[in-house]
Amino acid sequence: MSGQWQYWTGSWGHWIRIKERRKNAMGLHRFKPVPSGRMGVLWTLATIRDAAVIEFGCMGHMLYAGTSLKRIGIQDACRLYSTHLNESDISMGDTSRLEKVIETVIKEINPRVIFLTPSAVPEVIGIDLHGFCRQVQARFPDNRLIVLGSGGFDKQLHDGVRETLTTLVKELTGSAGLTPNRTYNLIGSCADLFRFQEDKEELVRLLRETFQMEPLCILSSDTEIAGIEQMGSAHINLVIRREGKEAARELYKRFGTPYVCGRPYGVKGTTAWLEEIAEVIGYEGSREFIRKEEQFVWSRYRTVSPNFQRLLRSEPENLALSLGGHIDVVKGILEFGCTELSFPQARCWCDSPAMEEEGIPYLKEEEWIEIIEGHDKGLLMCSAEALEWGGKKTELQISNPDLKWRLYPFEPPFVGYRGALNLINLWINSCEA
Amino acid sequence: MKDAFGHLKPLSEIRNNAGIPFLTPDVAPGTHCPMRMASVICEEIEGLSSLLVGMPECTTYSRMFSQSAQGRKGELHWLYVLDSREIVFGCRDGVIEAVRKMEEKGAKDILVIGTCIPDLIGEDFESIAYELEAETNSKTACILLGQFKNISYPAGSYKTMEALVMLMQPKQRNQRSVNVLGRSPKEEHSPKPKLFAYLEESGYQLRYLGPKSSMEEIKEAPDAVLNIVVSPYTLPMARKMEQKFGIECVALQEIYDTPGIEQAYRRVEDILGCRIVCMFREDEQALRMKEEAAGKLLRDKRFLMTLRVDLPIPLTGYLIQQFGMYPVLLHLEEFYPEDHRYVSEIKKLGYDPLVCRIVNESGAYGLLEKLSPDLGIGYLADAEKCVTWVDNMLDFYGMIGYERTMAILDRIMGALDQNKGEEEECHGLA
Repeated sequence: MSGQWQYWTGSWGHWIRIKERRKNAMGLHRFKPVPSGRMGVLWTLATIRDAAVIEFGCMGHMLYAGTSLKRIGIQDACRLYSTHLNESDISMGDTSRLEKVIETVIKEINPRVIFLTPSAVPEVIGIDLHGFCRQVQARFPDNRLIVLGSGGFDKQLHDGVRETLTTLVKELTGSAGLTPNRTYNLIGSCADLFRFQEDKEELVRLLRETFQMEPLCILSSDTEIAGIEQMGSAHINLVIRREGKEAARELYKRFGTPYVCGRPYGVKGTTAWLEEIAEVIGYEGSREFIRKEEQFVWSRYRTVSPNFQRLLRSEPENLALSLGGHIDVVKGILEFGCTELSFPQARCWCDSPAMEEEGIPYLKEEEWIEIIEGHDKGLLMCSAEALEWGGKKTELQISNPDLKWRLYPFEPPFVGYRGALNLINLWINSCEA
Repeated sequence: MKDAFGHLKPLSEIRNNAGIPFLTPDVAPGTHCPMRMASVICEEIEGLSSLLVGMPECTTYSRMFSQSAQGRKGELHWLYVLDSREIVFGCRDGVIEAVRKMEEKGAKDILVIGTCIPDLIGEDFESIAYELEAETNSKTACILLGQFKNISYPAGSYKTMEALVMLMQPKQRNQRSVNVLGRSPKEEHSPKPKLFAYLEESGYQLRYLGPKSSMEEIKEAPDAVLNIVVSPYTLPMARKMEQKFGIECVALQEIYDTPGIEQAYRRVEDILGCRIVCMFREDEQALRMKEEAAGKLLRDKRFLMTLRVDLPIPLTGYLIQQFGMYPVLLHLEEFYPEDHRYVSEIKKLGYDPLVCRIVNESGAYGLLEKLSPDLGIGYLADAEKCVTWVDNMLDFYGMIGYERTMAILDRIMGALDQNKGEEEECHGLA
């Protein structure tokens, strides 16, 4: 008897109703769902210093968002407030609370910029935050009010990140001419990605050592409002996740700043990224540094290369890469593993239906659960939540949801030369354990 | 000062929970959402599965409290995220199908928790539960916990506990069975009340029902002849059990004064038909003596109450009536229907303190200090306090009777003594 017949308990009408319901039960999750666009907005804004976010919504959300941000290692950055809402605010569409909170926040900390975001409730009742902002901005001439996150219910995390990066650039960046020394903006270093701080540090190190370039703005994981305002003065924009492309295009349109898109993984991948930057800025940089870094990774790789080679000959399935997470992370690690080290690819997936590519489709929860349940050989790297549930090695985590507090921001990165060595180290220890 | 407190209301003007004004307009970080309490309770009750229905925000953050999708005994804690179509047309079918799937995977008793958006769109969870009862073999109860209606967290606790009554079935009455509602069997933070130890010694079987109980125990509860309530979070549960199974209840959580405690004990005595009041005469006398000693020190002291005091209004009533203390301001996490009685008593005595909800802890002390209190009672974030303060009131939860009132007085007197000592030391140094 096929699975569907077990539900057939009565009339055909009843059966159709049940089938309809099965179709409808799309929202069922065992694990954390893909975060909403509003959450993407908040997590991207939360790292910006000397600003405040006021959420127009019930207070529980901001309380837990604040705790989550502390868990992922964001301390003392953007000040987070909410207004709370009650039934009468909802039925009357009353926004007076928001105005009062703006007044109080200005009185308390006087931030240069206040970001206003809606929670799900005002989105449902259709509060026009943009209209509200236009109305009240004149009352607060010294404090810029910027509305974000009113994008509807179909928006997901990545839409929120994209919206925020683009809006920040559009609304805050001014023109001041190029800086005398070589500088760059890193666009897309955001708190929703696992090890975002470590990856950022590695990229800053590479750019400093290769080109003697310093960042003007790291959007948005390590910046203040002034940093965003002077983004137009950078010599190049480096977009390290695809959600930042629109912001880079905007900067190119307004200031003519060239940009390079890419998240550098692996040895060759990192060198290629640095070479692309060199070409764009017209400065070769320190070839010596690149050579030494490459040598540093390959010399260590050579000590374990025979182990990998033996496995590739006899049991290649033990080195097959199954990766799940943000498309740029998955794609980058996959390229390093499969192209540079010749590991086979197993099933990989990304976490946004809008970003899927050939070989890296978007998988729903029930689909990636099947992969994890059926995974018995090879290297499985995805979120800690999924790895722990599947009884797999959580040290192979490359994406969120996370399960731990991340107070220590000095773990090894995944990007750059150090990231490559970290991955090699993880892989050899995993396949030999 | 008028500016800072002008928007607050006196206690007598509070009619319900929604009418409590915030101390400050800006909320940072605010109080817990009722969903948190429901998630925590569901995770702790052995045998109870849950389905949290809401937006990605609620469902994601609920994993901070109910961390695993699967409990130790196979309970399922799953999430249901509404899509844009369901926000417009309702999530009934999806929720019903989700519960069916949970049943297929082995869930037996399921609590469906609706958060803000299901509450806002007016999804009829009661009829969902009704339909599920007809369609599934599992027992399902539903609660709606939109925070815009349930401003703070207590609703998450008392509505969850109340909903568990929907999962109970009538049982044959056992004359020696007594339920204690609001204390868990493995309570470690507070000593077992003497009344319960005495009842157990007298041969009564006490069933402690709280968040750490199992569904098996909860389902046995209708066999009791009496429900003794020790927490505001379980009073609605007791009322519901009274209504559904005819089990009498005695609420002890809100009684602090000696005549009140004696009267409540006498009711327990009448229902169970055993001697109780006379067994606690010594405790009663001890409390009376302590009250006499405390009276001189506490009279006319201006006090305010802040966070994490279980029942601030009944406690305020006691402190006024017994010692003539002067309440300046009360933080109310929740205004319970039972509070009305105490409010009118306080009003009759000529007092009418300001009430508020503290939602920005970091700025609260600076404001409250302006009211020049002699004593603060309750938690307040790490402020350097010049006023005598009793910070921890939370560990009285689950305690009742004479010994609780004595412990509270001891703590207040201890804080005042310590402060006096510090002041004298300061003067000595000066």
